[in-house]
Amino acid sequence: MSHPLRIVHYLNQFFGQIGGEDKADAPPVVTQGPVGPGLAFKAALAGQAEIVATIICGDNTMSDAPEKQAARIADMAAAFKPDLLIAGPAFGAGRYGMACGQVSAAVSSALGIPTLAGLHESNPAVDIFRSRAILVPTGPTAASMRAAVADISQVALELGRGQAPAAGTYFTQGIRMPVFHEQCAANRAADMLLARLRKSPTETELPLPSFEHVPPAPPLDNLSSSVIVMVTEGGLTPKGNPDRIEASMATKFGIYPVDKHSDLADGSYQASHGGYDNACVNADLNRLLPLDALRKLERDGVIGAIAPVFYTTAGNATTMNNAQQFGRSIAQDIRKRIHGQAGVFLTAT
Amino acid sequence: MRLTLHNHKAAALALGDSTRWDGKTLLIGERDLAAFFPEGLGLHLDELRTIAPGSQTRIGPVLDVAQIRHSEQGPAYPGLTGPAETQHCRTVHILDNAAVCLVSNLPGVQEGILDMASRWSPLAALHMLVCKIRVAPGTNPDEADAHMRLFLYRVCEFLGSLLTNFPAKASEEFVYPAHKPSGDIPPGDMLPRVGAVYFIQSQGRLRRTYYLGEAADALQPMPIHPLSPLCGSITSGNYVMPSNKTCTLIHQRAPVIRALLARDGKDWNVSGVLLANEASTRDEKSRTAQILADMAKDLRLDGVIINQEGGGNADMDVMLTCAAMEKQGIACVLIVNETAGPDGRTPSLTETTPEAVSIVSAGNNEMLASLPAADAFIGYPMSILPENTLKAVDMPLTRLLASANQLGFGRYSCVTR
Repeated sequence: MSHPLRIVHYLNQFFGQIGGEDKADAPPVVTQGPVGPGLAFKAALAGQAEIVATIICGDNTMSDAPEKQAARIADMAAAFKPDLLIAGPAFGAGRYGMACGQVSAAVSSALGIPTLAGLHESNPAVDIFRSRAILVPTGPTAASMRAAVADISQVALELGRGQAPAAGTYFTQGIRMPVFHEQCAANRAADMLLARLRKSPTETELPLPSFEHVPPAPPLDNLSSSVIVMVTEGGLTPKGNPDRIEASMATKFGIYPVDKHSDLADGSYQASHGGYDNACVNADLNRLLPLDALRKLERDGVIGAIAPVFYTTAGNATTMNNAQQFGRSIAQDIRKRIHGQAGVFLTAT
Repeated sequence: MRLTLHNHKAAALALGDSTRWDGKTLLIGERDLAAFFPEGLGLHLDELRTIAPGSQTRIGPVLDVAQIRHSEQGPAYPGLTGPAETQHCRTVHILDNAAVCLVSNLPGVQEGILDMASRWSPLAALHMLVCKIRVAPGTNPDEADAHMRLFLYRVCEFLGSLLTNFPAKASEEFVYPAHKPSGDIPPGDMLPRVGAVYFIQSQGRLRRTYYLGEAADALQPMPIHPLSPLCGSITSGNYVMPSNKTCTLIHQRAPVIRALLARDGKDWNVSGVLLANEASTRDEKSRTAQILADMAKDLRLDGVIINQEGGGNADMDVMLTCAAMEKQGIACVLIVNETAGPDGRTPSLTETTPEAVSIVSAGNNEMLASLPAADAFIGYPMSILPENTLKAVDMPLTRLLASANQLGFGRYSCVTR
């Protein structure tokens, strides 16, 4: 690099030399250049990077309003056009660790720069923030400051140069990264099976993911006065798929009118979904989205009304991020159109 | 039973006026292959092309890749090019570093690319004979598929029949069982008993896998002879996502069975291969898992390798089976790929079970691979390559043939960072 990396450093009131517990309510302030441990970083970075500013904030100030303060601090940091942010190290300190995590996550997200914090493995902030910032392991107390500064500086310089830090130098982020092994998967499976049979220690190549719990919406108070919105992930579109909703790995969903007089089986619709044989559904699209059955329920007063639009995508290998985004967008659109009680009738394949 | 595979190697494939194998070059006579092509069924053999590994050539939509092979004692493709039996199969000749690739505009298949310059598919290391077949509009897709696959196997068997004239570069011998009968061994010296739970996916039209030529849609779990897949008993007509589909060639290579047999009689006794279909309903999946667990218990298996085909709903089959078997004290190692998102941050599986503690990962399907610009494209227009079929492009691995194969064929995997 032709010029040293610009680093903004975050510290709490104690390491920032404002005061002790009595100053835990100190608001965020910024000062030029390094402060306290920042001087040790300056030495360790040896001219390849410089701490252009230090932001100091009280631990209680942060814990009372973490997101708000972190956003303020991100704005303060932005003014210095940093290449990187370093927070702490906070070692095992709980409030300080959480503050470092919060600030690192906010700055990373707002400024799009790499952010690092130094934390001991016992610090609760590790699991909460590990996927949103680079967290470097440290000893439990400031007695290991020297080693922590050296380790954090090493990772900071690598990140600043656009290199991925070596495995083991930071807490894993739960990101699955590609690798090519010497042996094919079948041979690795045989090795793993042999180890299991010999009761030797084995390590899975895929730690099981955990799924977030999605609480269901409360039931409709009164079905007969509710609007029912039809939604499908079966790939139902107008004939010709004019908006080109992909049959696999869809990146979009469609919103199409439900004409009071039209019928899904009238030839102006089609199904296009890579995950199942579309032929039987194309023969009668009411069997994908049962408009005929819902119309009967509407006539009989079992449901209040069918919404004037339906929502559709093809749910084949849809990435989870896209699926979540479609769901949020569809919910928002429904709320814009329907103000009373609305229920969704969702068909899946 | 003793099975010998003679693995021949080609220096090149080439097209010509006649078909000849001289121990180095396989010359392929276009007229000879055309003689196998079914006429008057709405199919047209548009082109044959030979492609060397490493060529900057993209091929698609790919339906299947199959081995050039010949069996001295019966059909190379049992149930398809001859009777549905493998019990006489003793000597098979294979052109091991080559294959025949079927490309078609068949409607209703998931589009897939084989990029011969990309490291993402292990199949790109093979010399390819590409058969490009056009299906006329209005042709019944099921029938078109059946005829094209049969053409593919006939071509493979015909070319394979030439291999016997020259000695193979290398041969492999499989003796099953390699272990002594249990009556001859003191109880304390018994090796653990292991097997494979061989899941194939057969879920309806254009989503089928075939055992001895018969679609496995209604297959109930059953034991098969461990050497039977090496004799060509399993073929693929499963046009799901190309990274998730196990090509016929990969079934023929049988990586899991090879890995188990390599240690037969030494570290363990291979005591069963259980073939099962991934059914499409929850109830059938659950029933299959219970039946497999009962069979494994009856075979007194101590451990199994369970593979998968497909993804999404297919995660449930391996997880239910793993749970049922682990609860019976049978150690299970699973081979599955992941849906961890383009950034590697989303959950890798659709379904899990706490008993799945031993998983081998065949990599993240949703990772974006960068395909370099190509010099040539062989195939038909694809929606996944809309503007320019030769341009450098980023493509999720799902669209690259065999890039995350769950029969354990490849070396691509993932680690957590």
